[in-house]
Amino acid sequence: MSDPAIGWYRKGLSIVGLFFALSLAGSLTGCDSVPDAPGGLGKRFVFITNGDSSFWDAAEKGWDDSCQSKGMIGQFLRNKKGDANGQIELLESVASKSDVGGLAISIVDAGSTGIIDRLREISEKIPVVTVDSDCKPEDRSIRRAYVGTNNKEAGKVAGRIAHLLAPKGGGWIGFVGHEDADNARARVEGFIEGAGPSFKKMDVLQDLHDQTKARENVRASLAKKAAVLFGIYSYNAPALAEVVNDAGQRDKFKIVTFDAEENTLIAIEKGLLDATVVQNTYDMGAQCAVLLAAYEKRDEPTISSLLGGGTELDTKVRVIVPPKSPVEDPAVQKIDEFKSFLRSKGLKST
Amino acid sequence: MFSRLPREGWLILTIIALTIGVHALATRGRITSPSDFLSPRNMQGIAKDTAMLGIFALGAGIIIIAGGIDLSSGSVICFAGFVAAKTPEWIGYEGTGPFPSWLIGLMMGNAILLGTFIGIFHGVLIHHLGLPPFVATLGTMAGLRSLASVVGSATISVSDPGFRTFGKTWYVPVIILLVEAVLLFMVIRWMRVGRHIEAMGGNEEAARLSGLPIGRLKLFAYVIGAVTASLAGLVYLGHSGGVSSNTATGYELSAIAASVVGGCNLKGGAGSLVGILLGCFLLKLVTNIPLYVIETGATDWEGLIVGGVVILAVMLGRLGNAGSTKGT
Repeated sequence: MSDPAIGWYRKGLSIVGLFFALSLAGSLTGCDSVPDAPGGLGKRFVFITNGDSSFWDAAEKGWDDSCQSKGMIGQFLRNKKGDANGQIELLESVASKSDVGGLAISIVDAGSTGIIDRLREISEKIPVVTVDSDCKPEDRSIRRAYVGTNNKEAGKVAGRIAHLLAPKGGGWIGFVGHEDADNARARVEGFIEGAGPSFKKMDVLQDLHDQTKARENVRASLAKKAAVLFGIYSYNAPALAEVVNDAGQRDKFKIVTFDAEENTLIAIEKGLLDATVVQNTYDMGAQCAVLLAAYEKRDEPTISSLLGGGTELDTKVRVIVPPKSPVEDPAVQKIDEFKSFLRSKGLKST
Repeated sequence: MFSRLPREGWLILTIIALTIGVHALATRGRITSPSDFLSPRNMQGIAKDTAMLGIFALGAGIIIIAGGIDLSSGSVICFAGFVAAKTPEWIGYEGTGPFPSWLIGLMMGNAILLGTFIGIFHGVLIHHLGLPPFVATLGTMAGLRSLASVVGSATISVSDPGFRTFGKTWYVPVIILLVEAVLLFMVIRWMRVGRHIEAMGGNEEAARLSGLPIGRLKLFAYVIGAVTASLAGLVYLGHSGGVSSNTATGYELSAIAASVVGGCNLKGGAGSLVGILLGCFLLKLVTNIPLYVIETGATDWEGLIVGGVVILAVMLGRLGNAGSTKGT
């Protein structure tokens, strides 16, 4: 510090730092600030995801479309950290805002009492709707409704399709992010019920949302004598298609998966997967916005038409199969027909 | 010591400028919730998030000053949480109602003990077996998370209100951080071991030739790193009320980023605890702002902002060092 030139140099750096800070603040506020929607509800509505999978792309589109049509200010926040602490940080930002009119949330970890505590506090002020992944039965007083797939029923459909594909039964291996997640547990339970007693659970492998690990899990399972491989989360489907096909063992397994990422649809078209159970993700986002708007306006007829007097809105599933699939079931839809539906909504996947 | 002031000074200026900048634009009606950003609730949230990061970033920073790196702090946080949460079950505790204080003390003790063992393990791998710090801690990072899956694949919940105070009440992590920071400051600034760690980080060979106990110094730095991560594990467990094998994934990078923003030289030998704390605060502030000013895709900006701040901080630090012989 003895050289005065260095002192001036560092003062210059401080000015650069200040300039940077102000530029950052300016660019952030200028880039996407949304004025109050004309004729809207005057409040903002927040959607918080459990992670950052492309599964949420269609939900975001449905949420945005619905918010726009209802004149709502919608904020779609993805839990980039993918864990309970990341979701709590987002919940605390919601709790500190004075203009939030409703919250839709996919709970990342139903066992986290921290998340439930924050939701309980928020639910005393505004309506809370859970979506896709619900809280535990004993905590359901914190939410007005659940919007999404009835995961147990969806699991049953997957099990039923597995039984149609492998009528003699056999062992099955499941692939999932977190076995303990509410939706994963329910899908596995449903699968066991739907597939029937001729099927035996060999293993359910967790990848903790790491897609490289998801592929490793599939690779490690190829040597096991399973009849059916069951991909429980959306990204498990392309992992299964890719690894099984690369290993030249496509004919050894029947593969049933969940959801329709872009690569999953390509795999279905090529016959690398036998069936994928597709949730109506677009509708999950759209119906959350409709429901929250109805709560805000105290629009009882809309609420009861959506929930039918209960607290759950089942967005249903369909089963997408390759063009030449022999599977026949009321839930089945051929890939071409499904892609036409996606195009009509401006989507490539769901 | 004064040579470090400019770095900390511009960090403070940046923080003030950001706050004033966002508030000024907010009051001109550019964002929808102008008062909420500076509301006590949000400020408490930022303070708590900063404290939770700072608790283990200080340990990670000391390792960086010592010339090492610790990639395992996220996994240590996760596994320490598991150990604490499993302690009642392991000892066969069947009581109902609030946990007795001895049990909370035992949960804390087990987690801290675990951290001490992990730190010693790192020190042995790095100094006695000659493994590069990157490799040694990478191994622990993967191994501990896997072990957490083996110990319990499901989420382990802790709902005891006494234990939850660690992370649920906003000022408790702040107090923990302040106490930890004062203790570490005393060690680094006023005790010989602190000066030796800086000297070792600056030039290990010269420090060895000067007769400094390199092995013990490394052991000390890695134990501090792992113990602070264990402490953070207790706070995160209190915060979320549950721990699963994906808890705190990638948090080690946040600690390293905060240290670098705060002026730590990744080559070792330079850095200050105050700078690390300010780095933590700056990172938490810049990731909080988008939630208040961006309607769509606010969380998508987080990585970009953190990356930008880290790169800019390192660039400015390098420019600032160009005219001086020593690091920040």
